[in-house]
Amino acid sequence: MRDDDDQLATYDLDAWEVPPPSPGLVDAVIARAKQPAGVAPLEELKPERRRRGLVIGGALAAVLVAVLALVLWGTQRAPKDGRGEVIATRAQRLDLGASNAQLDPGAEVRWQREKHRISASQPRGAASWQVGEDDTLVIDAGAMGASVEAAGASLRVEVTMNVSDERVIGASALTAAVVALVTVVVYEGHVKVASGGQTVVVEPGSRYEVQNPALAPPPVAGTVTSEELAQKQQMIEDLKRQIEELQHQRTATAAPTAEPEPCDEVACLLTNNEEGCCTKYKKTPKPAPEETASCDAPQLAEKGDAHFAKGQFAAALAAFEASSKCKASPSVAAKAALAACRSKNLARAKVWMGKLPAEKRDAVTSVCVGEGIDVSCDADALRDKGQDHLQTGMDAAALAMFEASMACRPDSSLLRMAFMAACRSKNEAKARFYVTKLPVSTTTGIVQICERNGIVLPGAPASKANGGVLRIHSKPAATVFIDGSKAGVTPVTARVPAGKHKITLQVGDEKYTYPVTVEEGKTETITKDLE
Amino acid sequence: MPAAAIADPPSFDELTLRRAQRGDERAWRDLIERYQRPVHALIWRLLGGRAKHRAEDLTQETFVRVLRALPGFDPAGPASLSTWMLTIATRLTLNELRRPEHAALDADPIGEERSDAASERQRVGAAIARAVGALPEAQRAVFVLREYHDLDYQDIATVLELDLGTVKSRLARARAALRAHLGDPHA
Repeated sequence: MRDDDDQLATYDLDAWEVPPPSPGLVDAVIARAKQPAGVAPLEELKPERRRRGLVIGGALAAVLVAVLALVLWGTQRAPKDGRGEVIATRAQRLDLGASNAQLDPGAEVRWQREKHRISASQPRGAASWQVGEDDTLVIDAGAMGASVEAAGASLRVEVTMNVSDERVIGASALTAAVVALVTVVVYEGHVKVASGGQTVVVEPGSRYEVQNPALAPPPVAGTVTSEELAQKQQMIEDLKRQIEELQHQRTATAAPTAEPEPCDEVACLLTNNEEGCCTKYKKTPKPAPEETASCDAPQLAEKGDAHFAKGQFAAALAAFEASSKCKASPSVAAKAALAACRSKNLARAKVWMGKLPAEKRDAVTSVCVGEGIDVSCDADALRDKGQDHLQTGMDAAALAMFEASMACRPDSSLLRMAFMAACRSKNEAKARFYVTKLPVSTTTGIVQICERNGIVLPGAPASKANGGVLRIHSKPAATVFIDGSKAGVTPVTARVPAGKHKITLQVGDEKYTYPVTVEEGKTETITKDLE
Repeated sequence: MPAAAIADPPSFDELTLRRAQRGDERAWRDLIERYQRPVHALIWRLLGGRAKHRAEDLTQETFVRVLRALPGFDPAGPASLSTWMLTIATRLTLNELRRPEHAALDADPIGEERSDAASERQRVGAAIARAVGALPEAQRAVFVLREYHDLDYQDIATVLELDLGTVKSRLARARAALRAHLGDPHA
């Protein structure tokens, strides 16, 4: 009898029996899981035939798996040239070597890779692109002359169709006639958008919209960069000069006539005329972005909640991100991760997942996976990348990789590497954090790197300049604690600040404690027979 | 007689889980073999016992996603491995049920009624299937997770992203609807 409802106990609910899953399920799942995400269609389950052909199929599958592994291995090391086309019938991931795209259902993408250059066309639908550091991606968005160029960036490109026409248009050749709007949202990296003979640099955190000139007025930038503003001002100055020159020439060569006032955009601008024909050129002041208007983290988070409740997940994500930018909060980070997953924004989902504490990550991961967003990470690959960066002197990047790896899968062996990367990259806050996570005996050499880089580490072993050396031997080997901190197993050599210290040697459950005084610049040796 | 939960597979040992997280195929196989029955049963029942092929597809899809997301799963986190997998299966199935084309599922028979005494249990089973299948999706999910998978209220709330109170009220409504639908079992 169930403790919470004994009335249903009178029914034999188990009488509703479930047939067993197909015997071929395991093989089908493993075959699909080994394929790159996004290109693994459902395996047809044919249990009887599968049984009969198991021996032959097994050998064939082994060969295929080996070939697939080699292909994948090669893809990760050096992206191969190639081309392809995807029409996503559901949320789908497109892997292009170091770059990838998360396609929303309905998105259509054709791509061609030549070494590190990827040329893609996205005539319809939405996709979040993650462009590798060495790759350059050029997207022909909406097939209406809008070109997006990105390198080492994370961005989302949405091609919005004219809803009334979308249903009846099947051929992509006709797409240009019905594309209403191309929206480019940049999360990080360098992105340029070219349309109508104009190129705009879209900065991280901003968006840019290109409207179909056949359907709408000229495009309006969501965010005008200072560079773009300077270009426009220069253009206006040039035009002013040209007009002045033309007017001067006209007055010099011909008698003035009673021609009507010119009514083009430049003339209206110069005369500051906002009436008559100039009304169509009247500029509407653009409201300031909300984030800059105020920085009320709780209010922004509430706004995010409201959007989320209405199913407006992209808007909710923006509000949560603004709130976090204003004031970091684990709960808002979790909401941002959820909103990113719900809005199928893989790039942002990964960013926010990385910021979540472990206890919140699983719950969000399950939601993301359910939404078709694969936020899984490869801890080993991240660690290897971090080590590569460390060897090539990219210390800050190495630190980021080690932290990402540990966020992906807790690994205490990476703490020392992260500490070293923090010291090398002169990141004092991180160095101070990691030194407290490590046994004293393992930090000595790295502490010196920190000190050389001007980082002061309170509580860390002292350098030659302000401490001494402690050498501890014992028989049998014992675990050493210096002032309560584990320092390793004898023999132990540790650099400590000058002064009194408490040494504890532990053998099994037995503990032996000794006071010791270390003088500045001297070495103190302790040898204990504990047998 | 109460509904026994689907036989919970023995817990997946930590070492095998770690191997599975690293992509070890043997560990993957072990994981799927251990959990395929409860996952398939959950999907089957959430679909109301209709559309066997759809249940197979969703089971397959669930495990593919589980394997891909496995490296990010934290065994020390709040959700157990089985709850985490059931969460993914539930979300995929509920998404499937929201699709307009799901209406086609109604064409598949839930079960056949036979008159011989030996099939009495099947008749009862078919009646329960119809009653559960007639529940609104939201109530059905809560009911199936509680009655057939023995998840506690908090786990159900996590899986379905609901408040605890909502879980309780939906469960109460589902049980009431079921009692009304099935009538007196001894009649």
